Amino acid sequence: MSAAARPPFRLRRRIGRWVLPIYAAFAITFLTLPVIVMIIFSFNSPAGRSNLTWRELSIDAWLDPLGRPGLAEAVTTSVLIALLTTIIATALGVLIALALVRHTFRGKGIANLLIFLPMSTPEIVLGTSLLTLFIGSVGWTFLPPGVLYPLGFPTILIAHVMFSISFVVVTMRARLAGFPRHLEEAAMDLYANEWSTFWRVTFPLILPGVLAAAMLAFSLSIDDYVITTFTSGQTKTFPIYIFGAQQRGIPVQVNVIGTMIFLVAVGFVALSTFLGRRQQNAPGR
Amino acid sequence: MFAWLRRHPSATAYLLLAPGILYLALFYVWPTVGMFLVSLETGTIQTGYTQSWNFGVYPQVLGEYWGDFLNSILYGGAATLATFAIGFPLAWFVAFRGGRYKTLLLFLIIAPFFTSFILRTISWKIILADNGFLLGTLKDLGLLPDETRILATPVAVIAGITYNFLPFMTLPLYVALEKIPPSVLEAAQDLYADPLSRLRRVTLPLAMPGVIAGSLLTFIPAVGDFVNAELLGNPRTTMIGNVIQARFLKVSDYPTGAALAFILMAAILTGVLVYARLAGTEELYGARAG
Amino acid sequence: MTTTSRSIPQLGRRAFLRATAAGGAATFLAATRPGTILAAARPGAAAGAPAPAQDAPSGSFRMATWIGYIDVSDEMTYPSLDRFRDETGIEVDYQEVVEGNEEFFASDLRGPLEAGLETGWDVCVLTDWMVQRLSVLGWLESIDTSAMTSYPANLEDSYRTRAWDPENTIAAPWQSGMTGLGYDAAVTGELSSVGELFSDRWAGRLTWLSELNESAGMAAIYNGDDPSTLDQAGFDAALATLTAALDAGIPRRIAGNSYIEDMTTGDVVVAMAWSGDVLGLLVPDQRPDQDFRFTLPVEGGMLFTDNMVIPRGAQNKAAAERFIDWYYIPANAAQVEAYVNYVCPVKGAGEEIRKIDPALAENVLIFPTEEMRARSYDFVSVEPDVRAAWEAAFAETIGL
Repeated sequence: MSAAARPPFRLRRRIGRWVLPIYAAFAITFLTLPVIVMIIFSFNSPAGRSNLTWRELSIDAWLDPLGRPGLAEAVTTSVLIALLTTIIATALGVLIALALVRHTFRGKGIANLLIFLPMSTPEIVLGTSLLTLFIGSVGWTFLPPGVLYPLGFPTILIAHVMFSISFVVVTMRARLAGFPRHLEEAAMDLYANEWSTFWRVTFPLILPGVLAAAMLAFSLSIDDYVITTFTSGQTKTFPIYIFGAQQRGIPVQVNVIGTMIFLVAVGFVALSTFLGRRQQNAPGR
Repeated sequence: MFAWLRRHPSATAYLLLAPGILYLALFYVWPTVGMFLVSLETGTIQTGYTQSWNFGVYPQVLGEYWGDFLNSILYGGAATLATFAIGFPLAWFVAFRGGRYKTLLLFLIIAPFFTSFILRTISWKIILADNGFLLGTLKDLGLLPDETRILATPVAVIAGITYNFLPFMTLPLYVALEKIPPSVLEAAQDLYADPLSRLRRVTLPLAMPGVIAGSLLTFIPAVGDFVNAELLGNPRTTMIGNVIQARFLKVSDYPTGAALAFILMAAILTGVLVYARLAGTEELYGARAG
Repeated sequence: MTTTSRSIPQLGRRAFLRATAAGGAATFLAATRPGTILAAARPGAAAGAPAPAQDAPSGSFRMATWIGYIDVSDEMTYPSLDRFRDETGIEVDYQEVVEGNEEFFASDLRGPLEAGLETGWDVCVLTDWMVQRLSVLGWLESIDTSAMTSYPANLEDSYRTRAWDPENTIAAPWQSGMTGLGYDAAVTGELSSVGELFSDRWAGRLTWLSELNESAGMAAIYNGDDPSTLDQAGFDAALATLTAALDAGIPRRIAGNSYIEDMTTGDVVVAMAWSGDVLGLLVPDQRPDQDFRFTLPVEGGMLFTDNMVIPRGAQNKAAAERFIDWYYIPANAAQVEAYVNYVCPVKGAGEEIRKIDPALAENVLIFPTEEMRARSYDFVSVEPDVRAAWEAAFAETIGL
């Protein structure tokens, strides 16, 4: 490096120092702009049905967030399905993750593949293949009609659990990989019972991972549109409601509820970050 | 029972696996086989569909809809490249320059996930409207000709997909970059004076697991997407997802839809499994959750 | 009485949701069958209980229809339906859920009807050709007109000759309308030719409708063919016309009702549009710099009829029939018509509308002149199998 080359190099570094933050700022703007637009338009007072152009400031929709026919039902359905999906998919997924991380057995490769495949299959394929299954179930006399067909609440739930399991497993597997097995062994020496060892030692230790997996399952379920559109029939979830409303003018209330969901999610993240920090600062860690 | 399980360690594993694996067998494997069988049926919605082992449907739909497959691959591919171009510098910045704002920045990156997928796509319709907030302003300033539009063009579709899947690319990249020890970067600084060489010879190779995971997590949903093309595109930007959706939910022509879906799945899985062979399955999705 | 019958369905649905929230999966599986939801939501029709007596229709019924098809008050209530409730004690659960005939068929009708279940709807408002399909499949209840006083007595003569419904027991027309040119005259100036829909002057600022009858029909008119007698060759030619315009990038989108949104924002200035949408939905909300108009092209436009039908297994058929009869009282139809601006199938509604607003009675979009009727074409009625093939070919043409 000759002395003559230095000044331009330094200049370049100075520019370099600013290029990246500006680029990052643009990227962040790109990511957050639609969210901001959604929030702003929740305070709009549109002239007719269409909430696509700004007219004037109003909090009417915030005062009556469920005041559109079908909206309350759609939101309730979405929340119920997300809760049930979370419970079922987390339970099934955590068990699979425990088996995959802590045991060696024949067929492990196949099990791994079966977890990997649904995540590598486009959602639309998951949705359509379930739809063909449900349609094909028409002639099954051992099932009462209305379980698999016609489509409805149960079929949405089946679909959501299906695509959530793999994500739960993957999240849990990453958490379990660094699990301190020696604590369990010590506990086994003390309590000498798998059951109490699991509940007193293992479970508290994997709980943060379980919660992370559960939150992921919940958020995947509550926002799913693609798979739900093939498995919902007449039942409307919140995303299905929005897509339908999109064709005839989205009520401002949809933006209000969208904003509320956003705020709740932000609250959760803030809380978990806060708790995480406290845990890190706690003595003994 | 516990004693028996202790004597048969793999039995515990199978017991733990059974419910979840059965569920996936029932609602993933079986429907996939079922869909393949449906694709071979013939008939109409009026007469009903019957199994006729019509393998000819595959060359037929490929011939008819190759343009939509091409659109999917082009838009999905372009969007994946765009997410990398935006996501890599962003992830790099957050990982190495984020400082005490790291958590906030990470939060902003995943902020779109806290908003409904449909709603944030519609937000782009508002932002990109022909005389909307962005184009309208530029047109008023005379920076753009009046007839410029972005909505209902391939650009809008690619931009929409890029936006919707950008966090899928950025997060694995961040996780991979974050894992690089500072000492390695310092060593690189001593070795290569030129930042570009450092990037090419040290940072990028080390971030490779993130690049692979990120591009798969972006490309797979992008290729199968139909929402962006439907909301932001025009009648000639239809992707294969739009066709599959319409065949199932509008025309009730299940065999064609099933055949197209099956081709899409087979193509992607083949690609991914080849990729997985090269990169190792553990690496593929491990980065995401880390 | 009216207040109770009004609040019970709401309470029922909420109670149902609460119950499912509290209960286990079994409750779900049982309770999510459409029939049971309805039974829970409907007073006097508990699960397993006998249907309400035929002679005194009561309770509530569910109606699936398109947007912009009824009068709406500023408070987002439906004055006509409120009056119907006050007069009969029957509550209408009125849902604007029909986006397209095929879409509604796929999402709401095919599943339950194929499985031998009821659909959850008592009245669906669907276009002629879809009604024919459902009728052929045996998925419609016959409308019992024996006790009716105004239907079909007040049905306009032109609807009495429909070959597929000679007794008028399959489908009771709700509205007819014209498909023509909707445009923002502030941008485009006066338009009158069907050629505008295929003109590169509006490339990228123009939309077509995703219904086969409309897009293929308008293309046939553009080709100089008569859509009401279209044969396979004419249909193929219409698709070729559409393909050529699509390849030239002329239509921005091919959509259902969402063209209204695109016109409101100004992104679209010319649309293949339904007459009543322009007058009922676009004009009232237009900005000062917009001037929405509808015109039936000089070459002609399409005429469509959407009908009330009762899907098989409807839970409250008697109430639905009561409503059909009520709608055919001219004063009642006039109240709806004065708001929606479509073509009214009810005889004598014209005089009633004159009482509401004399200007409306002169509106040629509600009461088309003979000359206009002559250039509004029905879309040809073909065998269901041919129809299915045409639907598939049309979907392929528009890229789906």
